Amino acid sequence: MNLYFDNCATSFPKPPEVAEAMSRHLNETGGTYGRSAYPRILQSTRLVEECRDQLAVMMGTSDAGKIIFTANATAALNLMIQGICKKGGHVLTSAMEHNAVARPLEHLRQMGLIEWEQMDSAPDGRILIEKIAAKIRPNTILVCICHMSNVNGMAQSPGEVKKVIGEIPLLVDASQSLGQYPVEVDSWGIDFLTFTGHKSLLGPTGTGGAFMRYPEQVEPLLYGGTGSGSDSLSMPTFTPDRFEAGTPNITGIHGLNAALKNRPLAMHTRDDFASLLTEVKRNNNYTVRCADNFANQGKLFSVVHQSLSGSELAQRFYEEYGIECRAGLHCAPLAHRHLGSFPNGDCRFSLSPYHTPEELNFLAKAIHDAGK
Amino acid sequence: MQANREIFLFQNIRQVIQAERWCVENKLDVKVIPVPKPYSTECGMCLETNKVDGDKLEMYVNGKGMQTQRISNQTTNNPG
Repeated sequence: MNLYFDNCATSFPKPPEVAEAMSRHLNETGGTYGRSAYPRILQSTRLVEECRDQLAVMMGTSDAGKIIFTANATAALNLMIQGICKKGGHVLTSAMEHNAVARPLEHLRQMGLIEWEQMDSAPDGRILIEKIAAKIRPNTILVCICHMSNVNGMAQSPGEVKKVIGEIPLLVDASQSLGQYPVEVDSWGIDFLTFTGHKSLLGPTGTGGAFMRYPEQVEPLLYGGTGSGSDSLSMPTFTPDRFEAGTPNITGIHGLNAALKNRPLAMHTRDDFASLLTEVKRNNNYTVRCADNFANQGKLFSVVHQSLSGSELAQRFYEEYGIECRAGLHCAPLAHRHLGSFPNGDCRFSLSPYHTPEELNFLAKAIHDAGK
Repeated sequence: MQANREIFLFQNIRQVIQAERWCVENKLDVKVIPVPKPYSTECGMCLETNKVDGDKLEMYVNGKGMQTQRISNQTTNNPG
């Protein structure tokens, strides 16, 4: 029985083809990215570009050349935020931001470069679209939103936000959503999007990146060799090269490519998940952190027990039921402040496409019994 | 470079791979080679093809808006 319910920390298991692809690169094929033209490198390079193309399909853009690889979503968010905000200004965020967004913004604020504030939100953290306009200032240079909260699984509507903010750049952190929830970069008008490979995309850790519709608005954070324009001491002006200094995580990208090409069909239905949430909500010993509207719900939720702390719950779940889940603030203290669970945090469960209805039923019963 | 052969220099590796894939799909005579030293200090790769297929490839790269440099053993043309 698969009782790993911490998939929004990192997903497990992966499609078997992920490890096979990574092992093949490490043990059989080898080869770096693009630095020469012998067959080993050519094969390796083709797979990296295939991965970029697969990602473009997954995120709904026709311009894969504007997707760059980074070590993880945090690196991508730092690149976007620090690269866009270098000249200073005002930044708007949602109430549900992860520290991967909040800390770079706060760093820039402490440096005296920017001011940042949250947009008004509903109790579950969903941005109140009709109240965005009142927050926009003449010097607003960026609107940054977490697409899907890693605390309660609530998903925002980036397209609706973009309609209100107009030409102000929209940065969407899709760390939790990409791979488990619709993302449509082009039709929603998203300007910048960051992602990680090891969560809902089911790839390996050490992979992530960003889509940049307007790369010229972003200053690189890393400078170095790119295998292009090597006669110049300046970074190339074109993507992806401008933002990919140094040898990329080729082994990891091959693994991510395999994950994208071998997406498993979910072994449970959305109705099965809805039944789980309904069952958990019936227990009066818990407050359940989830989206107010199930249509906006990703496959994760949290519970706050009336007397047990999140860590006490998580320990009980593991020791008595073998369930692996996560307690605490999940690196999102702002979300917990908004939801009313700061500083104690909560206990979070996040699903995998490999979970069966029987495993969801087991979880529902364990949550019920553990909370008695 | 051999007689009747041409090379296409691209802005970056991604474009080389994109163009190579298009050539293979369209059964063009193409080969990925290191960028010849006389043309660039570049450390990457480029495409080698023949004159006829080079014309087809040039139409493709222009259609894609790729900045390329087309070099034959006698002339240099910059369609980008």
